[in-house]
Amino acid sequence: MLSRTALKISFIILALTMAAFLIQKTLQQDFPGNYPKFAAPVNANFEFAGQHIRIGVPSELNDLRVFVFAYDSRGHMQAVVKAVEDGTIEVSEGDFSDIDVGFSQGNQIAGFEILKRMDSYTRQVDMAKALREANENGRQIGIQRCLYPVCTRCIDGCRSVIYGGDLPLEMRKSEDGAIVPVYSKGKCPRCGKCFVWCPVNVITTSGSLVGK
Amino acid sequence: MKWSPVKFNVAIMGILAVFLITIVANALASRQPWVLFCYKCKACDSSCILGIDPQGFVDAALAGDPRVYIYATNVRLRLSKAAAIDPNMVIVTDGGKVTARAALNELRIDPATEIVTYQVQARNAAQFCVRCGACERSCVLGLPLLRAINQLRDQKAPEVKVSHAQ
Repeated sequence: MLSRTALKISFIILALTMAAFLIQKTLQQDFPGNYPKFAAPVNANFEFAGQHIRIGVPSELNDLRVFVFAYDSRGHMQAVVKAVEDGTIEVSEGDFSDIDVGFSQGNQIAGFEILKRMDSYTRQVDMAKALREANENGRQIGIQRCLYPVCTRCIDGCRSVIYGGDLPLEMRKSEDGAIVPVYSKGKCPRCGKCFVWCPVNVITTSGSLVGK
Repeated sequence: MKWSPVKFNVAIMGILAVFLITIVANALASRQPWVLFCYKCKACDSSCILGIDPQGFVDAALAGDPRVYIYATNVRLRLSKAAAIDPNMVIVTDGGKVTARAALNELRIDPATEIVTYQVQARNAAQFCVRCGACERSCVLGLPLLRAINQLRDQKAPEVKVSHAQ
Protein backbone atom coordinates (compact mmCIF):
# COMPACT_ATOMS: atom_id res chain seq x y z
CA MET A 1 0.00 0.00 0.00
CA LEU A 2 2.77 2.37 1.05
CA SER A 3 4.82 1.57 -2.05
CA ARG A 4 1.81 2.36 -4.26
CA THR A 5 1.42 5.79 -2.57
CA ALA A 6 5.14 6.46 -2.95
CA LEU A 7 4.88 5.51 -6.62
CA LYS A 8 1.98 7.92 -7.10
CA ILE A 9 3.89 10.77 -5.40
CA SER A 10 6.97 10.04 -7.54
CA PHE A 11 4.81 10.06 -10.65
CA ILE A 12 3.24 13.43 -9.70
CA ILE A 13 6.70 14.96 -9.07
CA LEU A 14 7.95 13.59 -12.40
CA ALA A 15 4.87 14.93 -14.20
CA LEU A 16 5.33 18.38 -12.63
CA THR A 17 9.01 18.42 -13.60
CA MET A 18 8.20 17.42 -17.17
CA ALA A 19 5.46 20.08 -17.39
CA ALA A 20 7.82 22.78 -16.10
CA PHE A 21 10.47 21.61 -18.57
CA LEU A 22 8.06 21.75 -21.50
CA ILE A 23 6.70 25.24 -20.77
CA GLN A 24 10.13 26.85 -20.77
CA LYS A 25 10.41 29.55 -23.40
CA THR A 26 13.94 28.79 -24.54
CA LEU A 27 13.26 25.31 -25.89
CA GLN A 28 13.20 26.55 -29.45
CA GLN A 29 15.48 29.08 -31.09
CA ASP A 30 14.98 30.76 -34.42
CA PHE A 31 17.78 30.33 -36.90
CA PRO A 32 17.34 32.87 -39.72
CA GLY A 33 19.04 30.93 -42.49
CA ASN A 34 21.44 33.50 -43.92
CA TYR A 35 25.13 33.31 -44.71
CA PRO A 36 27.47 34.44 -41.93
CA LYS A 37 29.67 37.54 -41.93
CA PHE A 38 32.96 37.81 -40.01
CA ALA A 39 34.35 40.72 -37.99
CA ALA A 40 37.55 42.35 -39.22
CA PRO A 41 40.80 41.71 -37.30
CA VAL A 42 41.39 44.07 -34.36
CA ASN A 43 43.90 46.85 -34.95
CA ALA A 44 45.75 47.26 -31.66
CA ASN A 45 48.37 49.82 -30.69
CA PHE A 46 50.85 48.51 -28.10
CA GLU A 47 52.70 50.99 -25.86
CA PHE A 48 55.44 49.45 -23.73
CA ALA A 49 56.09 51.76 -20.75
CA GLY A 50 57.60 50.72 -17.42
CA GLN A 51 55.81 47.87 -15.72
CA HIS A 52 52.64 48.41 -17.71
CA ILE A 53 51.72 47.73 -21.31
CA ARG A 54 48.92 49.92 -22.59
CA ILE A 55 47.02 48.63 -25.60
CA GLY A 56 44.76 50.95 -27.59
CA VAL A 57 41.86 49.24 -29.34
CA PRO A 58 38.77 50.51 -31.22
CA SER A 59 36.10 51.85 -28.84
CA GLU A 60 33.55 49.44 -30.36
CA LEU A 61 35.21 46.77 -28.20
CA ASN A 62 34.40 48.63 -24.94
CA ASP A 63 33.04 46.35 -22.18
CA LEU A 64 33.90 43.22 -24.18
CA ARG A 65 36.35 40.60 -22.96
CA VAL A 66 39.09 39.77 -25.45
CA PHE A 67 42.27 37.73 -25.55
CA VAL A 68 45.61 39.55 -25.38
CA PHE A 69 48.08 37.10 -26.88
CA ALA A 70 51.79 36.61 -27.39
CA TYR A 71 53.67 33.73 -28.98
CA ASP A 72 56.44 32.07 -27.01
CA SER A 73 59.67 30.51 -28.28
CA ARG A 74 57.95 27.09 -28.72
CA GLY A 75 55.38 28.62 -31.11
CA HIS A 76 52.64 28.35 -28.50
CA MET A 77 50.12 31.14 -28.00
CA GLN A 78 49.89 32.52 -24.46
CA ALA A 79 46.70 34.51 -23.89
CA VAL A 80 45.02 36.37 -21.06
CA VAL A 81 41.35 37.43 -20.96
CA LYS A 82 41.07 41.18 -20.47
CA ALA A 83 38.17 43.61 -20.37
CA VAL A 84 38.28 46.64 -22.67
CA GLU A 85 37.56 49.89 -20.85
CA ASP A 86 37.57 53.30 -22.54
CA GLY A 87 39.20 51.85 -25.63
CA THR A 88 42.23 50.59 -23.71
CA ILE A 89 43.55 47.41 -22.15
CA GLU A 90 46.33 47.39 -19.58
CA VAL A 91 48.62 44.45 -19.00
CA SER A 92 50.82 44.67 -15.92
CA GLU A 93 53.50 42.50 -14.37
CA GLY A 94 51.70 39.80 -12.39
CA ASP A 95 48.99 39.27 -15.01
CA PHE A 96 49.42 35.61 -15.79
CA SER A 97 48.43 33.80 -18.98
CA ASP A 98 45.02 32.09 -18.81
CA ILE A 99 45.53 29.66 -21.69
CA ASP A 100 48.34 28.00 -23.62
CA VAL A 101 47.44 27.04 -27.22
CA GLY A 102 49.54 24.61 -29.25
CA PHE A 103 49.58 24.40 -33.05
CA SER A 104 50.40 21.68 -35.53
CA GLN A 105 51.19 21.99 -39.26
CA GLY A 106 51.67 25.74 -38.94
CA ASN A 107 48.19 27.12 -38.53
CA GLN A 108 46.10 24.17 -37.27
CA ILE A 109 45.15 24.22 -33.59
CA ALA A 110 46.47 21.06 -31.90
CA GLY A 111 45.13 21.65 -28.39
CA PHE A 112 45.02 24.02 -25.49
CA GLU A 113 45.34 24.09 -21.72
CA ILE A 114 43.56 26.37 -19.25
CA LEU A 115 46.27 27.51 -16.86
CA LYS A 116 44.03 29.21 -14.29
CA ARG A 117 42.22 26.66 -12.11
CA MET A 118 39.91 28.34 -9.60
CA ASP A 119 42.32 29.59 -6.92
CA SER A 120 45.66 28.82 -8.53
CA TYR A 121 47.62 28.48 -11.78
CA THR A 122 48.88 25.13 -13.06
CA ARG A 123 51.77 27.12 -14.60
CA GLN A 124 52.52 30.83 -14.27
CA VAL A 125 53.44 32.68 -17.45
CA ASP A 126 53.76 36.43 -16.91
CA MET A 127 51.93 38.05 -19.82
CA ALA A 128 53.72 41.41 -19.58
CA LYS A 129 57.06 39.58 -19.86
CA ALA A 130 55.73 37.31 -22.63
CA LEU A 131 54.49 40.33 -24.63
CA ARG A 132 57.82 42.16 -24.25
CA GLU A 133 59.87 39.11 -25.23
CA ALA A 134 57.65 38.36 -28.23
CA ASN A 135 57.84 41.99 -29.36
CA GLU A 136 61.64 42.12 -29.01
CA ASN A 137 62.13 38.81 -30.83
CA GLY A 138 59.76 39.58 -33.72
CA ARG A 139 57.13 37.06 -32.65
CA GLN A 140 53.44 37.80 -33.00
CA ILE A 141 51.48 39.74 -30.37
CA GLY A 142 47.96 41.10 -30.63
CA ILE A 143 44.31 41.11 -29.66
CA GLN A 144 41.93 38.30 -30.48
CA ARG A 145 38.24 39.10 -30.25
CA CYS A 146 37.13 35.50 -30.91
CA LEU A 147 37.44 33.38 -27.75
CA TYR A 148 38.35 30.16 -29.59
CA PRO A 149 39.57 27.59 -28.44
CA VAL A 150 37.81 28.21 -25.08
CA CYS A 151 34.56 29.01 -26.87
CA THR A 152 33.53 26.62 -29.64
CA ARG A 153 29.89 27.64 -29.98
CA CYS A 154 30.04 28.25 -33.76
CA ILE A 155 31.79 24.94 -34.43
CA ASP A 156 29.32 23.14 -32.13
CA GLY A 157 26.43 24.68 -34.08
CA CYS A 158 28.01 23.74 -37.40
CA ARG A 159 28.71 20.20 -36.23
CA SER A 160 25.07 19.79 -35.13
CA VAL A 161 23.86 20.13 -38.73
CA ILE A 162 26.76 18.77 -40.80
CA TYR A 163 27.34 15.03 -40.84
CA GLY A 164 30.98 14.00 -40.75
CA GLY A 165 34.08 16.08 -40.22
CA ASP A 166 34.02 18.22 -43.37
CA LEU A 167 32.67 21.41 -41.80
CA PRO A 168 32.20 24.68 -43.73
CA LEU A 169 33.58 26.53 -40.71
CA GLU A 170 36.95 25.90 -39.11
CA MET A 171 39.42 27.79 -36.97
CA ARG A 172 42.90 28.69 -38.19
CA LYS A 173 45.79 30.85 -37.06
CA SER A 174 45.83 33.97 -39.24
CA GLU A 175 48.92 35.81 -40.46
CA ASP A 176 48.81 38.24 -37.52
CA GLY A 177 48.73 35.31 -35.06
CA ALA A 178 45.08 35.58 -33.99
CA ILE A 179 42.80 32.56 -34.31
CA VAL A 180 40.02 33.37 -36.76
CA PRO A 181 37.09 31.50 -38.32
CA VAL A 182 37.71 30.36 -41.90
CA TYR A 183 34.59 29.67 -43.89
CA SER A 184 33.85 27.80 -47.07
CA LYS A 185 30.71 29.23 -48.63
CA GLY A 186 30.05 26.30 -50.92
CA LYS A 187 29.63 23.88 -48.03
CA CYS A 188 27.52 26.21 -45.83
CA PRO A 189 23.89 25.09 -45.45
CA ARG A 190 22.89 28.58 -44.14
CA CYS A 191 21.51 27.20 -40.90
CA GLY A 192 22.55 30.40 -39.08
CA LYS A 193 23.62 28.60 -35.91
CA CYS A 194 27.15 30.03 -36.00
CA PHE A 195 26.06 33.66 -35.77
CA VAL A 196 23.05 33.07 -33.50
CA TRP A 197 25.26 31.26 -31.00
CA CYS A 198 28.43 33.41 -31.29
CA PRO A 199 28.55 35.23 -27.91
CA VAL A 200 31.06 37.89 -28.93
CA ASN A 201 29.62 38.94 -32.31
CA VAL A 202 32.69 37.91 -34.27
CA ILE A 203 30.28 36.06 -36.55
CA THR A 204 27.13 37.98 -37.44
CA THR A 205 24.49 37.57 -40.10
CA SER A 206 25.23 38.89 -43.56
CA GLY A 207 21.48 39.41 -43.90
CA SER A 208 21.75 37.77 -47.28
CA LEU A 209 20.47 34.49 -48.66
CA VAL A 210 23.08 34.56 -51.43
CA GLY A 211 26.10 35.85 -49.51
CA LYS A 212 27.98 39.11 -49.91
CA MET B 1 3.51 13.29 26.22
CA LYS B 2 6.22 10.75 25.63
CA TRP B 3 7.43 10.41 22.04
CA SER B 4 8.22 6.96 20.77
CA PRO B 5 11.26 6.50 18.49
CA VAL B 6 8.91 5.82 15.58
CA LYS B 7 7.07 9.12 16.04
CA PHE B 8 10.40 10.90 16.34
CA ASN B 9 11.59 9.30 13.09
CA VAL B 10 8.35 10.24 11.34
CA ALA B 11 8.73 13.86 12.50
CA ILE B 12 12.34 14.02 11.26
CA MET B 13 11.35 12.47 7.91
CA GLY B 14 8.50 15.00 7.67
CA ILE B 15 10.93 17.89 8.17
CA LEU B 16 13.28 16.42 5.57
CA ALA B 17 10.38 15.97 3.14
CA VAL B 18 9.37 19.63 3.58
CA PHE B 19 12.98 20.70 2.96
CA LEU B 20 13.21 18.59 -0.20
CA ILE B 21 9.81 19.83 -1.43
CA THR B 22 11.06 23.43 -0.91
CA ILE B 23 14.09 22.69 -3.09
CA VAL B 24 11.89 21.16 -5.82
CA ALA B 25 9.43 24.07 -5.56
CA ASN B 26 12.27 26.63 -5.87
CA ALA B 27 13.68 24.83 -8.90
CA LEU B 28 10.25 24.81 -10.54
CA ALA B 29 9.57 28.44 -9.56
CA SER B 30 12.88 29.54 -11.10
CA ARG B 31 11.83 27.66 -14.29
CA GLN B 32 15.02 25.58 -14.21
CA PRO B 33 13.83 22.13 -13.04
CA TRP B 34 16.88 20.43 -14.58
CA VAL B 35 19.03 21.83 -11.73
CA LEU B 36 17.59 19.05 -9.55
CA PHE B 37 19.66 16.55 -11.51
CA CYS B 38 23.03 18.24 -10.84
CA TYR B 39 24.97 16.15 -8.36
CA LYS B 40 27.92 18.55 -7.95
CA CYS B 41 30.54 16.37 -9.58
CA LYS B 42 32.75 19.47 -10.14
CA ALA B 43 33.48 18.51 -13.75
CA CYS B 44 32.47 21.99 -14.93
CA ASP B 45 34.38 24.20 -12.50
CA SER B 46 37.79 23.80 -14.13
CA SER B 47 36.45 24.57 -17.61
CA CYS B 48 35.65 28.26 -17.12
CA ILE B 49 38.27 30.70 -18.37
CA LEU B 50 36.88 33.34 -15.97
CA GLY B 51 37.15 31.00 -12.99
CA ILE B 52 33.38 31.04 -12.47
CA ASP B 53 32.03 28.01 -10.62
CA PRO B 54 29.01 27.07 -12.78
CA GLN B 55 27.51 25.11 -9.89
CA GLY B 56 26.82 28.51 -8.33
CA PHE B 57 24.22 29.13 -11.06
CA VAL B 58 22.64 25.80 -10.13
CA ASP B 59 22.65 26.81 -6.44
CA ALA B 60 21.05 30.17 -7.30
CA ALA B 61 18.25 28.37 -9.15
CA LEU B 62 17.80 25.87 -6.30
CA ALA B 63 17.65 28.70 -3.78
CA GLY B 64 15.46 30.81 -6.05
CA ASP B 65 17.76 33.74 -5.28
CA PRO B 66 20.04 35.44 -7.86
CA ARG B 67 21.98 37.16 -5.04
CA VAL B 68 23.71 33.95 -3.92
CA TYR B 69 27.49 34.54 -3.79
CA ILE B 70 29.44 32.22 -6.06
CA TYR B 71 33.11 31.81 -6.96
CA ALA B 72 34.40 33.86 -9.88
CA THR B 73 38.16 33.83 -9.44
CA ASN B 74 39.45 35.24 -12.71
CA VAL B 75 37.32 38.24 -13.69
CA ARG B 76 39.51 41.32 -14.13
CA LEU B 77 37.89 44.74 -13.87
CA ARG B 78 38.53 48.16 -12.38
CA LEU B 79 37.96 48.56 -8.65
CA SER B 80 35.57 51.49 -9.18
CA LYS B 81 33.44 49.35 -11.48
CA ALA B 82 33.52 46.37 -9.09
CA ALA B 83 32.33 48.59 -6.23
CA ALA B 84 29.60 50.10 -8.40
CA ILE B 85 28.32 46.65 -9.37
CA ASP B 86 28.36 45.29 -5.82
CA PRO B 87 30.31 46.87 -2.91
CA ASN B 88 30.19 43.55 -1.03
CA MET B 89 31.83 41.64 -3.89
CA VAL B 90 34.96 39.82 -2.62
CA ILE B 91 38.10 40.71 -4.55
CA VAL B 92 41.74 39.67 -4.36
CA THR B 93 44.32 42.30 -3.44
CA ASP B 94 47.92 42.12 -2.26
CA GLY B 95 46.60 42.07 1.29
CA GLY B 96 44.33 39.08 0.70
CA LYS B 97 40.60 38.80 0.05
CA VAL B 98 38.50 41.85 0.92
CA THR B 99 35.23 43.39 -0.21
CA ALA B 100 35.32 46.05 -2.91
CA ARG B 101 33.99 48.59 -0.39
CA ALA B 102 36.80 47.82 2.08
CA ALA B 103 39.41 48.03 -0.69
CA LEU B 104 38.20 51.54 -1.51
CA ASN B 105 37.47 52.92 1.96
CA GLU B 106 39.87 51.11 4.29
CA LEU B 107 42.80 50.02 2.12
CA ARG B 108 42.51 53.22 0.00
CA ILE B 109 43.33 51.42 -3.24
CA ASP B 110 43.18 53.60 -6.36
CA PRO B 111 39.71 53.12 -7.95
CA ALA B 112 41.33 52.85 -11.39
CA THR B 113 43.35 49.79 -10.32
CA GLU B 114 42.50 46.57 -12.07
CA ILE B 115 41.46 43.90 -9.57
CA VAL B 116 40.58 40.22 -9.81
CA THR B 117 37.28 39.05 -8.33
CA TYR B 118 36.89 36.11 -5.95
CA GLN B 119 33.22 35.83 -4.95
CA VAL B 120 30.37 37.66 -6.68
CA GLN B 121 26.59 37.43 -6.76
CA ALA B 122 25.27 34.85 -9.24
CA ARG B 123 23.46 37.56 -11.24
CA ASN B 124 26.72 39.54 -11.57
CA ALA B 125 28.69 36.41 -12.49
CA ALA B 126 26.13 35.86 -15.25
CA GLN B 127 26.88 39.38 -16.53
CA PHE B 128 30.63 38.68 -16.56
CA CYS B 129 30.16 35.27 -18.21
CA VAL B 130 31.22 35.23 -21.87
CA ARG B 131 28.67 32.45 -22.59
CA CYS B 132 31.25 30.30 -24.35
CA GLY B 133 29.41 27.12 -23.30
CA ALA B 134 32.56 25.41 -21.94
CA CYS B 135 30.68 24.50 -18.73
CA GLU B 136 27.88 22.87 -20.71
CA ARG B 137 30.34 20.87 -22.78
CA SER B 138 32.13 19.59 -19.69
CA CYS B 139 28.91 18.63 -17.87
CA VAL B 140 28.69 14.85 -17.72
CA LEU B 141 24.87 15.06 -17.74
CA GLY B 142 24.78 17.68 -20.52
CA LEU B 143 22.75 20.05 -18.31
CA PRO B 144 21.76 23.32 -20.06
CA LEU B 145 23.72 25.71 -17.83
CA LEU B 146 23.51 28.52 -20.38
CA ARG B 147 19.75 28.68 -19.80
CA ALA B 148 20.27 29.51 -16.14
CA ILE B 149 22.99 32.03 -17.07
CA ASN B 150 20.77 33.76 -19.64
CA GLN B 151 17.93 33.95 -17.13
CA LEU B 152 20.22 35.46 -14.48
CA ARG B 153 21.53 38.03 -16.98
CA ASP B 154 18.01 39.43 -17.16
CA GLN B 155 18.03 39.97 -13.39
CA LYS B 156 20.85 42.52 -13.44
CA ALA B 157 21.13 44.63 -10.27
CA PRO B 158 21.23 48.46 -10.51
CA GLU B 159 24.73 49.90 -10.05
CA VAL B 160 25.48 51.78 -6.81
CA LYS B 161 27.85 54.68 -6.25
CA VAL B 162 30.71 53.99 -3.84
CA SER B 163 33.70 56.30 -3.50
CA HIS B 164 36.52 57.17 -1.10
CA ALA B 165 34.28 59.81 0.46
CA GLN B 166 31.69 57.32 1.67
